[in-house]
Amino acid sequence: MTTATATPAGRIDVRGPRVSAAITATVLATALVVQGTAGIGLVGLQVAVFATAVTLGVARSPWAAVFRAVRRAFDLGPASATEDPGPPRFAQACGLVVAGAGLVALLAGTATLGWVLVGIVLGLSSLLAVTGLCVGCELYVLGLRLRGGS
Amino acid sequence: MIARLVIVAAIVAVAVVAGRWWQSRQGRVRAVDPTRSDRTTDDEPAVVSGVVSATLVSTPTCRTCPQVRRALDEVAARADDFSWDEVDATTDLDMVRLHDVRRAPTVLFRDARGDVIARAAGAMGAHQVAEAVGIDATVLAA
Repeated sequence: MTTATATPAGRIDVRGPRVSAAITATVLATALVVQGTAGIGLVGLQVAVFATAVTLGVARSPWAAVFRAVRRAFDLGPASATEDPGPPRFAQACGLVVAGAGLVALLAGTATLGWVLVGIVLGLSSLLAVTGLCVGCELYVLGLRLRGGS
Repeated sequence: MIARLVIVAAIVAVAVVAGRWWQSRQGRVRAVDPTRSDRTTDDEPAVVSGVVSATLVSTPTCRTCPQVRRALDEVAARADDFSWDEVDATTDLDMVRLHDVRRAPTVLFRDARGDVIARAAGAMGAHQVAEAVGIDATVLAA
């Protein structure tokens, strides 16, 4: 049995988004500490990762690929639980909007605003990484309800 | 550099503490105000008695719904006078509005007349369900 086929079609391993969030938090924390050109470059890298997840799906995000490589390398076994990729993808879109706005602010020279926005994304991604609570995913459910005209 | 490290650590710490607090509130069963079916009474309910059935409000994409489904099944298997059903929040919006359901999963606990007398939102385990239904949680598998 291979771990690659253990996840039902159309669903993702729940550990994927958490590991991705941990990598995201690490990248953004490093960016916040070093700042300058290197820091802005790291924010740009993360914005590109968010954009990939939103356009191609969370399973094709570079950080998801890192997770799968780690899962293979350390033989972490099949997913204990799977989830619909819709809410995580929506969460990545939220990350893209906020971090993207932060990147624009940094490139425009409004550094404080830019780093505050990066800090927000850092907080939310570390929240997901450590506790498994995905705020963007919760918003997705609320969004479904609003779309229903409530 | 040190100041930035402190800021980064503070952001992560605040996020984690807030998350833990939020998680601690998951699945907490609260009594429903009898005069307003969409309102709960104080955070800590008086003893909720007379629960005979429950409705799980779920969505197809909800991550913790399978866990709540298992919890309800487990309690239903051990309590003869308890049953539960499930509605899809994305197709049954009237239900969602009537009871002001804001999150999936939400569990509505009903009395013999079918009135909602308690509710809980978020992931919940069999012990929390058993408590609401009023059966001895020790009969559940650990």
